[in-house]
Formats: sequence, C-alpha cells, structure tokens
Amino acid sequence: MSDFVFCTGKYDSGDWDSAPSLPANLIDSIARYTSISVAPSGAIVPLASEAVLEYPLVYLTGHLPFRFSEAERRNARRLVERGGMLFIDDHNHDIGGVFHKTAMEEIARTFSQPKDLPNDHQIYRCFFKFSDGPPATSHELNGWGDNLVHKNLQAVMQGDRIAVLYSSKDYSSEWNYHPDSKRFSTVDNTRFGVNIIVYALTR
Amino acid sequence: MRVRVEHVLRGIVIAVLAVMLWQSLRDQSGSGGQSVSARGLGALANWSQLAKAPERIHVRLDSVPSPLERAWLGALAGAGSSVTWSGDLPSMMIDAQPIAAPTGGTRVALAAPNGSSVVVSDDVGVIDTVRSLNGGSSLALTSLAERLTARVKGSVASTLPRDSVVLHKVLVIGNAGWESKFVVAVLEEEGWKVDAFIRVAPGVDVMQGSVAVIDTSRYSVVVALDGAASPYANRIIEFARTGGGVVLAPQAASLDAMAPLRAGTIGRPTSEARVIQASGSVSLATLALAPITSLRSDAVPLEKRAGAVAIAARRFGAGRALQLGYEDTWRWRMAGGDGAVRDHRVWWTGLVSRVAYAPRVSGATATTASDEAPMAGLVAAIGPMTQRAATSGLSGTPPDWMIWLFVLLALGLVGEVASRRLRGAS
Repeated sequence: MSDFVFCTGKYDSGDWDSAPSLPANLIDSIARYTSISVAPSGAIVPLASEAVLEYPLVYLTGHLPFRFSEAERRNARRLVERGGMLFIDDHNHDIGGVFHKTAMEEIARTFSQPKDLPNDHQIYRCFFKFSDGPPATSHELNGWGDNLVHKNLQAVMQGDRIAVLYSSKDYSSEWNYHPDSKRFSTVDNTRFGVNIIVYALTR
Repeated sequence: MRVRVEHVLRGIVIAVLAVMLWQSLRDQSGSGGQSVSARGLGALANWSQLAKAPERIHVRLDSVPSPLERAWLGALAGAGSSVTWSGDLPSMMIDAQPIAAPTGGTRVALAAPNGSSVVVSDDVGVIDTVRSLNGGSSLALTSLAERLTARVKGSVASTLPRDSVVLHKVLVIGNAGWESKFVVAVLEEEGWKVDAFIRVAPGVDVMQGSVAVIDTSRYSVVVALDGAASPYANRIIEFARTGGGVVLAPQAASLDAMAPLRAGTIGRPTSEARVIQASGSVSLATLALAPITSLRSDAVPLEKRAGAVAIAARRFGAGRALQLGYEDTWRWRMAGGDGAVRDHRVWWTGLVSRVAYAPRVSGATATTASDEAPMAGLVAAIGPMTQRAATSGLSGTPPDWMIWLFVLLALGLVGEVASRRLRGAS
C-alpha cells in the first residue's frame, strides 16, 4: 500500500507557495504522532493537471486574489466528487482581504456556498481533541490581519463528509516553520493539522 | 418386352398397395406387440387411446418436450412401452440465484451448446441474447418479472427465482490510508452497512459504526486490508470457518497469521501505475499487482492479468476467502476515466458479494412450474437418446419407409400408365 503524500496544489492566479515549510512540518507531525505511512516529502502538483487526482487531499493557500482556471475548476470538482478533499487556508487572516473574498467567491462558483462548520464536528476529535473547535492561531491572538478570532471554520459538505474545508485562521503562517523548532513549544500547534489529515484519510 | 415390364410395374403397384392396406388395417386394429415411430409428439394422445399400448415407441424430436409431454412419455414407458427418442436437441439449463448484495438482483447461469445464442426473457419480454462460450454463460439482472426463460433453437428452459438472502454488515479493517477510506466509501455507496476498524496510531483506532464481535450473526464479510488485521486474525479465521466471507488485500494476505486463509503466496508487486498521461489512464489493468502464485490445490483463480493470477478464492470451512493481488485500488476511482467511480464501486461490491455469508430466505411457493433443465428431465423420464427407430409407423408423422413405399407406388403407377399411353394402348 502506498504512503500518504501531502500535496500542495499549485494554481495560476496567486502565490500558491507562500507557506513552503508547512508541508514538511505537517509530515513531521503525522510521523511523530500516528502510525500512518507517510512519504517523507510532499508533492507540489498543478491543480490544472489531472495528476492532482492522485492526491485525494490537496492543500491550497495564498495572499493574492484566488481564482481557478477552467482546468483547475474542472479538476477540483472531479477530485471532490470522487471523494477527495480540499483544504484552503487564507494566509492573510483577513476576511476583508483579497484572498478571502476571492476564495469564497471561487468556492461558491465551483462547489457551493461554504457554511460554518459546527465546533463539535468529528474533525475536532478524530485524533486530538479540540473541545472549543478550531484552535486559535497566534496571528489571531496578536490582533494581526482582521483582528478577529474566528469561531468557526467553513466547509462545503458532500453528504456528511467535508469536501472543502476553508480556514480564515491563517494556519499557513502558524505552521510554516521548520519541524525542529517544535521543541521550543510547550504545545505543538500543528496538532490540528494532524486531525485534518486523519479526517481526510478516514472519512 | 414392354408389355412384360408394364405387368411387372402393375404387380409392384398392387403389392405396394396391399402392404400399405395391410399396415393401415393393422394400425386400426390396435393390436399389441407393434412398434410405432413418429416425428414430434402430436400422436401422444393416439398412442394413449390404443386398446393396447405399443410395444415400442420411437419419437424424433426437433425440440425438447415440455414437462407435460415428458411426463406423458414417462407414463407410456411406465405402462409397458419401450420409449426411445432421437433428435439433435440442445442440452440446456437455466438457474437463477439471488445476488448477495444490498442492491439485490439475480444472477442467471445458463448452460447451452458452445456458440449457440440463448434468448433470455421474462414475463414482460426479451431481456437479452447471450452467446454461450465454453458451454455456458451468465448475466446479472437487476430486476425481472416472475418467470425467466431461456430459448435455444426452439427448446425452452425456465425457472422461477424464489429465494432472497439475509445480509449483515461488512467489517473493514485497515490502517488509515486512502485504500481503507475508499473501500469503506464504495461499499457504503453501494448500500452495504459498514463497520470499520481504522488504525491511526498504536492503540488508537478510528471506529465507524457499532463494531461488534466478529461472527456471522453480525457480519457477512470481513475485508482485511493490511497489517491492522493481524490482532484479529484468529477471529477472522474462525469467522470464515463458520461460514463468513473474507476478502484479503495483498498486505493482509501476506500476514503469517492469515496463512490458513490464503489462496496462494504473494508474488513480487509490479510497479505502481502512478504517471497519468491522459484522462482515464488509471484502470484495473494498470493498477499495481502483487500476483498470487503457488495456488493451493483447492483455490480457484477468478481473474488473471497477463497470465498472472490477480484474484483467487477458496473455500475455508463453511465460508469462503478471496485473495486480491491488486494494490491501491483507490487510484482507479480517483484517477480513472469518467466511469471509474461506478466501475470501482461495482467491482468492489462484486468481490464482497462473491464471498458474503448470506443465508437464504425462501419466498412464496411457486404458482407456475419451472423447468430448469428440460434435457435432463427428458433423459430422466425416458432415458438417453437412441438412433434406433421403430419398424412401423402409427398415427402422427408416417415413418420414413412408408414414404419411400409411397414413392415406389407412384413411380410404378406413372411408369406403367405412361408406357401404355406411349404405345397407344388404352
């Protein structure tokens, strides 16, 4: 059986590579906490390429306006319809920012309008327990971006499964560091990233 | 000389007429000890009304007789006649069994001569025409109306599907990964109720459903995907021994603890079908395959790829175990062509239904008699085919020799009259 490969989606319209250390950090966490067989390196795959369908979990981030090309939209739809999941994170942490506005429009255009995900959803307890819902990021607590602590993540559901998970919390900044630096933290802030991956692999 | 020939011809005509008259009177009298021969079974009633049953009856058949006609022939045989038959009849059979899957349906098995076209119908009309290969064919029907019939060259076999099956849940055991996720997903999409043990970390399982004791009162099938099944191996083996069905993916089959269930050893996997050149390039034919080698003597290969066994199954106790050689089948669903999602789902449910523990529930009593194997019924009623024909004919189609006698009579008469006319005699 093949290893799980963390996939960063490359899209044409913006800065898809704004969190280059995040994949390695989450891969480290998966290897550290779970028995999931994970590939040591992530993959960067153009969303416009059908090769992206080989990666049922695709991470997308950026600061700039976010818009799919026709090929990207078609593949994103196919990936989700076939049981895959997109995780899109706003690297600006700003609901008035261009990424948030354009990404929400694009999600609504491609799938449907995302809705608030209840904070007792399985994704908050499928591995680590987050009784208050999505963990706050240091950027939220420091008042950066829109100076808000976002209570919920948003999601587009397919049946009872999350098909598209959208975050305004800027996990891309929060988790974008070398894995060795975890030793300086009392609590590993990537634990929710482990939950996202475990959820995608088991639901 | 010419007059002498005419006399001979006239003599022949008179002699033939005498023989035919004698034969006719003999038949009318219904005297015993005679032999009768006929084409078809139109004369059955006549034979039964004779004062004394014919000593020998031979029928030449163009199609397999109906159950009533076979029973009639059997009764004549029981009444003392020696009944034989001949004819180029197709050996055929039809059988319909419920498919052990939530979507239901009926699997129809047909036996017919090689290369023949079998027309399958129900009470509503023709369903399909299939060609018999290697002596048979099969098809799966999602719905049908009452009686199923199969026709080959005028012969008809029929059956009435009457049973249904009881299905329990499927238990999927595997490590967290795309294969376990998508196996659970496809089975649920197809209507199976699925419990799952998904191993995420040592001592941490994600459980789906109310996972219960592994036995046939709760589960119809256990799907073991990889090493996560190792702690449950003894229970899975006992489950199979008592009638349960087990599907072993290559990594699970390679576990020492699963050795009793294996159909064969696991060969070296082929390279993964990773590179996607164009849409729909991933299919069952391009999936990585760990061929099943050194098959056990009781194992049956169910699918091969380039000569290598890809799927094999065997009976184990009262149950069945099916071993897969394909790895990472989820790639087929995700990166296959337009129909890949459906094909992958149907393929998986087909695997599971092949081994599922599914006790029968008999349905309502049939109101119409079925006739699954008419040829076998004919042989059972009056024995196998014989080429020996009876020596005289009775009502029904005249025997061959009577026809030749009539031809001789006609030729003799025409010859004699023509000869006389040509020489000017009246």
